[in-house]
Amino acid sequence: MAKRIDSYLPVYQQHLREYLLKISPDTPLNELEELIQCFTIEKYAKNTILLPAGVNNNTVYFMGKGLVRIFYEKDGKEITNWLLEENSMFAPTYSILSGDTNYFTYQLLENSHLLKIDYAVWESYYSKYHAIERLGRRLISVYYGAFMRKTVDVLFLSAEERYQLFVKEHQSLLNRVPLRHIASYLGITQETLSRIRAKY
Amino acid sequence: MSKIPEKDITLYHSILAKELLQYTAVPEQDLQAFVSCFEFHEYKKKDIIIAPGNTDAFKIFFILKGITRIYYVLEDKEITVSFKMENNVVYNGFTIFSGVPNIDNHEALEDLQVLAANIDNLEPLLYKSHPLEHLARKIVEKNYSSFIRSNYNRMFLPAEERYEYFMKTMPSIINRIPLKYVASYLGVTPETLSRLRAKH
Repeated sequence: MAKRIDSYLPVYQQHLREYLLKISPDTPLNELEELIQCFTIEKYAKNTILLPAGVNNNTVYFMGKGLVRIFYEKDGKEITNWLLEENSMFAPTYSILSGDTNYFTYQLLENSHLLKIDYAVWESYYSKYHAIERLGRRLISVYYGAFMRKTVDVLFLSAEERYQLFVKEHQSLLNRVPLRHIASYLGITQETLSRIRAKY
Repeated sequence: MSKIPEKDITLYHSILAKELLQYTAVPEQDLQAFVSCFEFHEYKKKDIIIAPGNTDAFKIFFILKGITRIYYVLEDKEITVSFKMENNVVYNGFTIFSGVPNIDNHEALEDLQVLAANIDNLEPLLYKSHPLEHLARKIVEKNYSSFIRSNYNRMFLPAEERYEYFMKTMPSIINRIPLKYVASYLGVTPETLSRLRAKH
């Protein structure tokens, strides 16, 4: 019999704790614990669309196991913006914070286990605990930075340099993600990606 | 920097305080401590107040009077990404949030009066005051959302809607800056911009 999903909860909670403490090391553990206990666990099948573009869903996710692809559609083509594996946190931050329509689709590329929390619950801890609000600011700063860095990389790095950076930072994804998504993430054609890969 | 009269700096601080109070209520004493970190600076038209690289990486500016243009240079071409004017905040987000060297030039399009502070001096105040931390989170979230929004506009909106959005969000700026910069910001030729202006 397959293991019950709940039996995985403690280990994912531990990973979440480590993830958040890395971003905000001075968070009191008892306060953090209260927040972590608000997350619930759920499992999803490969290819599930967690959230389609055009739909707003104010949920914050932490990836216990699995892989998510975050993409948008332009001129009938899917452009992969992010590929996130275990121990990543993700949420439709733009639509949550601005109230505007979410334009990304979140698709799970593998059978996945996710921890999740309603943003309203998450946010309620900002007013309850000063340190959790600081954690929230740092978290958004990290996302902000990641978006900015991506902008710079696309503009100023060559396709080959972007590939090298990807290999350095996401080695494990190379064998888990279909190459067409990696090519799209790097902003190159699949042929260019094959040519670059042949060189290394 | 020439010494400015005490009554003027008090006035400038109160302008900043008023702007900050639009985000959230903050106790008077905390707010005063925060705005007191800001000093008055003046720049001449065409001065670069933040340069590419990491110079003045952790300075934050509040514009009292004047306009700045934010642009980067790619293959010898200047690409305008944003304009900032009175009551806007300006900083080197690349270095602050992602640690990568800044790519943007922040250029004064008019003689400029600003308040400037070092982020390292503000951070300890956020530790002491939960309302100030709340304020800082709101500001980071707002800036994050508008960064994503402007990326979205550039990716998805046709030129005409980008123009409309620009006129809606910064209605007064178009009469103060050279149209070639507006065209560059909207990603259209000066001819297209003239046509759009004639239509509206």
